[in-house]
Amino acid sequence: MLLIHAGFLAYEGGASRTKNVLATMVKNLLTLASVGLAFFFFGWWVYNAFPFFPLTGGILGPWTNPAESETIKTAMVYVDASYPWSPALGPNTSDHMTGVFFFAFALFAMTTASILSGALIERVKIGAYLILSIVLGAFTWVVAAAWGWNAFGWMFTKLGYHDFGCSAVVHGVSGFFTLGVLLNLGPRIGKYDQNGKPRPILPHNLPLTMVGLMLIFVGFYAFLAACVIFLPGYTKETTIYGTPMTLASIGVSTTLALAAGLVGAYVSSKGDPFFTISGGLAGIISAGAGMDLYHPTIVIILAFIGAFCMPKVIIAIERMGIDDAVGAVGVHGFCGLFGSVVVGIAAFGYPQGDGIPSINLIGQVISALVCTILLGFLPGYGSSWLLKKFNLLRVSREDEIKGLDLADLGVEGYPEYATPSFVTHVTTNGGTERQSMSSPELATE
Amino acid sequence: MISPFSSFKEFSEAKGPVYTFANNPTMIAILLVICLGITVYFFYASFTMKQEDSKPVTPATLAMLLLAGAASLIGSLIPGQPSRQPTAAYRSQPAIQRQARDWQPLAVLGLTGVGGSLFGRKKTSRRRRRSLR
Repeated sequence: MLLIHAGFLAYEGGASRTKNVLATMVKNLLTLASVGLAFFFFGWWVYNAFPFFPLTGGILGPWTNPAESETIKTAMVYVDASYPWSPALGPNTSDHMTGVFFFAFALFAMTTASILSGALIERVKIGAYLILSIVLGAFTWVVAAAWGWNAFGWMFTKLGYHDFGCSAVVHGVSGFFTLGVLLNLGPRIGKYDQNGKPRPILPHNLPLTMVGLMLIFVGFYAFLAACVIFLPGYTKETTIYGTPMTLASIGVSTTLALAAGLVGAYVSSKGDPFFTISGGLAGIISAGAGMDLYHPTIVIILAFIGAFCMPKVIIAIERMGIDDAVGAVGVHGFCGLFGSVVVGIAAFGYPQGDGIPSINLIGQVISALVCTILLGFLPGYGSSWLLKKFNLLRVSREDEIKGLDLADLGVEGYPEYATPSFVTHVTTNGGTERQSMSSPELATE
Repeated sequence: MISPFSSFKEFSEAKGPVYTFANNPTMIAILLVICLGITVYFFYASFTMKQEDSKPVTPATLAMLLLAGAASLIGSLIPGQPSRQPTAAYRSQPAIQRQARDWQPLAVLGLTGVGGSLFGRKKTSRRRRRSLR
């Protein structure tokens, strides 16, 4: 799963301009640090403590009496193992599993925050990003997982919500959180002309971006395989909800979703390279929520539809004045929402446990909206609004024009290359002052 | 029904297919045909795919391309200036000369191809500039 992060690193680095490549990659890399530590301090506890809150119980913690009910007693075993001081997280010969789950969930959390990272490149303050990554990666998506990706979660037990591959729980939350942040962050300088018409800001290394996405694809096989539970003593694989499934079918379905997603985006975007390769991811996300149940033909159709619509969504968002540098809202937000809602139709009626509603459209819609709006858009908008009010969200105009590599890190990503800004600097100013590039067609560099 | 199971007990104890429409082969067949249609359309579209702003080859451009190809072909048929090479030396390489003449139509095709690829290159360039963001 760590390959997903190698992929995000390359993806974002390639999508940035030469003057921002190092700062972009360092920012992405620091996600592992900020989310990894925050997840240890409280994120893992949030996952285990929030499943009942607020509908079927309170937040579980040291103050909870396990004797309240059998369910609480069972849940408290996991809560007690999730505190940073818990003996379950260190070397412990009597507990071999808690650490495995912690590790898997921590990587899920880092993935969620990395999705945000790419959209904000080239203008967000690194400190602001780290705070946002903690809010998203160690809290809001974790609450979504506690409610909708947990056998005790109220969205599952009360509404019958089913989201095997975390379409809304991970992708929907992070995509809409990103949308909220982008509204406050604003577009990069030069992204829009005087009439508000978007101008392309070219990735400095599209092949690197494409390789990054290939790495993400590889990592996603592990991501989805990690959604399969097979514990010591089990006789068969189950989902996190306790329903039967097979690991082999995840291999088949992930492959087909990737293939059909590429086709959908390729056809829809008329062969655009960026959209086409993003289509693979869009396909997997669109089919992920019900991948444990879908026949391969349904996987193909849903992945195709989701990926076909994705470029249109990204273009519409861009025309609305929202500068999403990597299309995160379209790929993750839209496809996550679509993928989780469509389970209510494509897998309608599957039973999920005694006393738990079968898969149904209303439960899927309500839960998907809870994930995307309540735990995605609103926290993203609110936290970035606060940072903006304290002037902590965006770098200064001068730094943005100069490039964050020099402004933040003091070094260039390609010091030995004759970059366009270097050539301009040498030829027009005699080496005295660095000049920014601008042209009527392209955004200013 | 999409789900082949009516109760959780039946589902959790199932031995065999648990996927959607597992008890409805007709539906699976219909879905398979749709998937096949998507795949066939993908291959068809890959031949006709063009970006919106890439201008198709106009009749005038095509005519000029054909004209250039024809002129090149005619030029190859008209005898050139006599060679100053000694006759003996010229005669010593008849096989090579004949071989070169045999390749002339292919050379014309190659010239045409170069022209075509130049047009294609322009289109690609425009497409890339517009699409990347």
